[in-house]
Amino acid sequence: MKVPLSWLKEYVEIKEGTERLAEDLLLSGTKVESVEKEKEDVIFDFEITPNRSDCLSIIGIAREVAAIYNRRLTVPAAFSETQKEIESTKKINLAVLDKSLCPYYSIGIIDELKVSQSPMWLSERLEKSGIRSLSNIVDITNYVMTETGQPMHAFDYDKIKGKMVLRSSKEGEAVTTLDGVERKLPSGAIIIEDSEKLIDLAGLMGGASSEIDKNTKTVVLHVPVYDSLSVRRASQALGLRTEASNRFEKKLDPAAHRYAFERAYSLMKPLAGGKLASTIESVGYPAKEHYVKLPLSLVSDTLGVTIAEKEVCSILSRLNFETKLESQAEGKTVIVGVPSFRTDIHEPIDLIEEIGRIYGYNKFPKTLPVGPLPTSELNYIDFERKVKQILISLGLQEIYSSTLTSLLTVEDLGFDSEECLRVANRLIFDYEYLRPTLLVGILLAAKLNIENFKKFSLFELGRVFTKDIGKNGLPNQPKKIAAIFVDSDFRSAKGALETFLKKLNISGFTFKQLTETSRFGKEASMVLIGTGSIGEFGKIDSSILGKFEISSPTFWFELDLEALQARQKEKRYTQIPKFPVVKEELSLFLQNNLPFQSISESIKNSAGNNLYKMSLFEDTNIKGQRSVLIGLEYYSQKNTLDKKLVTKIRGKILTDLKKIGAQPRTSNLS
Amino acid sequence: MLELVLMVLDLNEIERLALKELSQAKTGAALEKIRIKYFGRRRGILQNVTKQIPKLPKEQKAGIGTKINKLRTKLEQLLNQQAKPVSIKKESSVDLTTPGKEIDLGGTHPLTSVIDEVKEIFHSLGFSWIDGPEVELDAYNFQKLNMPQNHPARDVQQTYYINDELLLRTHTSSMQVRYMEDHKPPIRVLFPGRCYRRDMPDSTHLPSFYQIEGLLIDDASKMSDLIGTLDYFAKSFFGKNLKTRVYGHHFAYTEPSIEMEVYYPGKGWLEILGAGMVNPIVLKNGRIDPNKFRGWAFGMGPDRLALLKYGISDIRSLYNSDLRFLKQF
Repeated sequence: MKVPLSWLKEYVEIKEGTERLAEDLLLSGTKVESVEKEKEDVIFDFEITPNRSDCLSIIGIAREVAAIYNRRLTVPAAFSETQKEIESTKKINLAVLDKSLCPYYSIGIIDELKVSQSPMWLSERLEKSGIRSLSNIVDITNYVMTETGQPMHAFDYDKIKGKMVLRSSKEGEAVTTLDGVERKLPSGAIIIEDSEKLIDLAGLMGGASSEIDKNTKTVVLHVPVYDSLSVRRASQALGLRTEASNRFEKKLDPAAHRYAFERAYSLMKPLAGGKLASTIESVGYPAKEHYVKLPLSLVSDTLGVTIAEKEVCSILSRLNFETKLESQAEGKTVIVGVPSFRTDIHEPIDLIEEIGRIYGYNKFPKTLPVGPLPTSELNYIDFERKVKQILISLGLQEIYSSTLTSLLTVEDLGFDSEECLRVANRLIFDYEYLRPTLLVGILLAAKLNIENFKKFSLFELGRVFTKDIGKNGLPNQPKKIAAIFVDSDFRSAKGALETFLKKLNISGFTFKQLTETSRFGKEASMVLIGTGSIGEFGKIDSSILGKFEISSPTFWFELDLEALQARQKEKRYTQIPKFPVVKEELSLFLQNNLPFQSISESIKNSAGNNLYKMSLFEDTNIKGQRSVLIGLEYYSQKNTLDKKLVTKIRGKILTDLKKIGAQPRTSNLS
Repeated sequence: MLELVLMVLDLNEIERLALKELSQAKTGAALEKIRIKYFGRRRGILQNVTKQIPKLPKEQKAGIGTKINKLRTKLEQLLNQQAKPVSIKKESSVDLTTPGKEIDLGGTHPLTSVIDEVKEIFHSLGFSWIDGPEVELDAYNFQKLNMPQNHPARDVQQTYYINDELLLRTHTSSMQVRYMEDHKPPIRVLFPGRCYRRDMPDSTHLPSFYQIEGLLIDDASKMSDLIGTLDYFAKSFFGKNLKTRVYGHHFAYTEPSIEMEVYYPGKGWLEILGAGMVNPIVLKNGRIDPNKFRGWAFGMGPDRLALLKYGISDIRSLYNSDLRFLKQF
């Protein structure tokens, strides 16, 4: 809402400098977006919140200024003569078919007009307020709208054919508006038609057919309050917003139409020679008064500051509320009469807000909450933080990528776009599909960085989205943790994942080769705990990497965060070895694609409680045969292992290994 | 007498042998062997000799003890002397201005740092936290927050819809009523999480960004606590000399509503959050009796806090994962 300071000063005395005024308005709740100097004048641009339709006017802002500084508000007198001034056969003929569409309005005929340019002072004020000056008649309607906040429309009387009917539109009807655009209407827009066609897209823009032109002599001036929802819906459906619709879609003062009509006429008379040729018909006027009971205790309880009853009443009356103090059983109460322009005030809390903002929130004591603490939800471990910290300690960099992505990216990763959740009203292609995997953002991030870095690892924690609707009526959108290891190798990447799980105190996990090729390549496995999968780990196929301009070996994992949290166990201390640990190495040839897991399980079974640690030192290929070098550590918590016992353990391990096809290298050689 | 002679001879013999062995020892391991052989606690030679002392005739005992100790000291000194050059390698002199090796560590994203810091500050006031669905029902994002269909405060143009009922939450205020439905007052909780607005991406807007909502409900809460808490938060986050100010604003789900600004040298007053007393209608929608309980809520953007705190000028740098940016944190 643009407001020239010079115009504002017409209604209220302002002694303060521009900066001071802007600050005082802001601190009382009228937010100043910008202040611009223009020639001799200053133009304020205010952000008016949707509840304050009354502030979409110069008078409304002047009223705020008057309230802040406790000064008098002087509004222009309306035209006192409201009876017709000339005899005329011209008649108002408006039928409102559905009263709820236009519950309040004033209407009248003004004749003997001479259309010309507006005087300088008027056109300048309009231009400063961001409205183009057209002709004196149209300008006056816009001027009064800006001044009072009440939009109005002047029809050329002679262009209206027959009776005017105000009704709700049917889908597919069309109207050519003042801007020359033919608009196909949705159902439910408010329109006015004459006997031939639609002549007004009510609340949004006048129709071209009854437009004021230089030959216009007579106008029907219609000052309505429309149903705000209908205007808002039509505005959205048509993608059309105007100064008028911006006001009509809010709850307007139900009583301002009469004053606005009289005010407009009081300008048309001297500026365009207009004469009232009918009585002013006002419907739904005057509006009903209403009162709100405000217990004073509620004011201090809610705000946390005691404001004297005198000051409460003073603040309210400065804002044009009527106040009357009453003593009731539960304490003192103010009976507050609400002025018709404050369509946002219904409950005591609405008045408390008014008192708070004018009293000044910066004068409040700064206290901390003293109420009881919740006992049920406190002091739990921040699992997400723990997950992140472990990955960071393993050398991974955290990223936050976009959850919305493009069709292209989704398809590059081999997803069927039909399986992915999609927004119905995308703005641009890059933000249309909700990511089905965290790898979307992670791969894009890798692509971005490959130019500057050769080797790096990234991770992200966040939601992925599916189309399956859960019990709560929402699409399943689990949180995942995913990582990528660019320019890495199988054992390093898997080692990071295993360490991550161990540090979370998750045990008993296994890796099972996926029978089907995974989304990202055939070298992939499920990460299992028992028989339940908690995610996947693998190598990304070069055909996919190519799409992201990566050429070095790259590995990934994606795990379900909730599953991880459910599997983590309480940390318990295990006794460190009390007696010396015996270390030795074991070199084996593996036959028939024997997986390492079989080796490790066999050794664990054979050594039982005496196995302290097993590690893989080397994994090589000798003349086409896989050869592994395993480090073993034996111990006992009861006594020092003697040579005899170690020999026995080793013997059992070797015997059992031979049974599954693992040959000790030394024995093979001998 | 004979035993005594043997003992003295033994001591001389022990010394002779030990010196010979010491002179031949070249490695640390060899020295260690000698140490164990002579000084070992259980089977060390000197220990064994000492054990023999009680068996000697009375008149000889005192002298022998001293001799053994002298021998012990002498051998220990020799052992230590000889050990030194072996155990400490001489390093060639170092240019102390040579840079150390760079160590490649993982790193926390600045948004995580900011969110964690906010959580910690409010944790000290008894707040816990929880995240909720990003694809949300219109009901929780708007309707139950006192924004029915076609309410002017819900900007349809700026909301991503999946269909008529489902949308991408425009704020984490969507968690307010969800949480109230499952929890009884007193309530103190944060809702950090991702939100969405249908905006063109530029240096200050992104279609998806983060928000932290806070909610407190009890039978004693009041506006001055809200203002005091937000001031406490801002000073904890930005520094204790920070200036803050609040002014009246409007949100459909809080009343009275306020916004808070902080004074940033060189930039002036900057808005960092919106807040207010929970609207009684919202309490009712969350099945909490507004006649018994009051509450307050606030919402802030950790993205914006991160930009301010680290002097970042473009919000997009937080989300485009450039390691040259991320490695600075």
